[in-house]
Amino acid sequence: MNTTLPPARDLPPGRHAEIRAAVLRAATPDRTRRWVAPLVTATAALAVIGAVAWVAPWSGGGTTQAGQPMPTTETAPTETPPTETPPPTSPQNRSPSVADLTSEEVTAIEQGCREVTFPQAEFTLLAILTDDAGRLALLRGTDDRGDEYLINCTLGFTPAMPYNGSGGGLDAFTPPLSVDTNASASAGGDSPGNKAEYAGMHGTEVYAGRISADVAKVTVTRDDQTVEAILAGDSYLARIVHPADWAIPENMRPAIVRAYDKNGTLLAESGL
Amino acid sequence: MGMTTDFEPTDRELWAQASAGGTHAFGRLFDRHARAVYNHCFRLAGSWAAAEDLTQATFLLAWRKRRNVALVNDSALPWLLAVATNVARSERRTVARRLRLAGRMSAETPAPDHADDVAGRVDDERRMAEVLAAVRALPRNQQEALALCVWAGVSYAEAAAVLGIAETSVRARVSKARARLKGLLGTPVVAFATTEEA
Repeated sequence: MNTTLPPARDLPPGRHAEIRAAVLRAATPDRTRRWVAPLVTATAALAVIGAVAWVAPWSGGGTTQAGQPMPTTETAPTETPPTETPPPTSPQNRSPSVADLTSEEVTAIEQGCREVTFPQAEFTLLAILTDDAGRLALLRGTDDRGDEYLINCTLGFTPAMPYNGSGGGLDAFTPPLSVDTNASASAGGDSPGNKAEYAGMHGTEVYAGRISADVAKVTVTRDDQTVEAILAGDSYLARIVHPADWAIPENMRPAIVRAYDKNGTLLAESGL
Repeated sequence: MGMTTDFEPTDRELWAQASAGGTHAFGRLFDRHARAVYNHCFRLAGSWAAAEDLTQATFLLAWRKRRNVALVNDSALPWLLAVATNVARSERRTVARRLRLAGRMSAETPAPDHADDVAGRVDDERRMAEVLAAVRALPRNQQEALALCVWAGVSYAEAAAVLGIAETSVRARVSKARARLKGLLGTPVVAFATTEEA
């Protein structure tokens, strides 16, 4: 058998220009900030607390932080043994935050969150974040085509809506940090226009995504507020909680998401 | 290899302009690295037509993730190849995509404007299919380390930086891949010099 690799070739005539043009069309300035309104999130959020939920891609960027270091993926990587990690949807990836749940409760959450987001996929509950705004579940899923999803799901939001989900399909991962849900924001229950039954509910911003194996800590910072994400396998989830009268600012920029290794070295940050 | 001049912007400079919304700068990065990405995609997919699609998808994703780039020694190429690897893996997972690609592969016909090239490309795909048949018996992380370091000429340190793992892990993966391939094929897979692509 001839195992010599074929020689390198140029793109066929015309295709270089065609592909270049297609890429640059997608990169034109009016598309650098793409608004992707997850149907379920938008519908649920608008119906429930008059919130607007949106997910901005990496290109949404954040406020440039003068003096902030560039992503440090150029630094020497730490010694990490080459271990095979279980699939993202494996229960092995569950964080300790799920440990106290019964198998029936886990199944109920997985089914409930699936039904309000992507019924075509099967989801695994990976973590539950508990803060002043309540309980927020993180789930990874895969459909029968092999497409992957990352969703977050508010538990016990109202008696009529026990599960309120958000999130979306996943693109290819670019290590060490991917912000797949970037500022999924909900206005507080006391903000103008909300129903009286939601009075007192906190406003929130949710961030979730994927990390490489050498990431040991993820933080999300807006202004002087920093929260630490909960990690589960190669996924993370964080939520910034705002007062009940918080309204989503016009032209809101996503917060800064930072990933650190076990030694506290900054590996990457979003929103540069 | 040609000399660089003071007037040729580095990848870092171009990427900074692109991150600020400079599509012209991103176009120059495309011109600089499209060939290397295209050939890397071919070695992962085994099809030149699929490699075209994957090249486009890679640069589209790179644009969207441009603020997350990891430049290694001022070069964006290792990161772009890592993005391409992930894109190719993602595409392979999708059944519909696989079927579409299979359809395209079987339906490929010589294009009039590069007919002289077609026979060579068909032969390329036949040879690559033989190699990939063995390579795909390897664990995925070994396949990707092999494609990056042996076929695309990315250094272990560069691969470690863009994969987010230790250099020793990259070396271990490549070493295991080489050893196992030698057992499967009875001969080493010839490394492919790619300095011309960079």
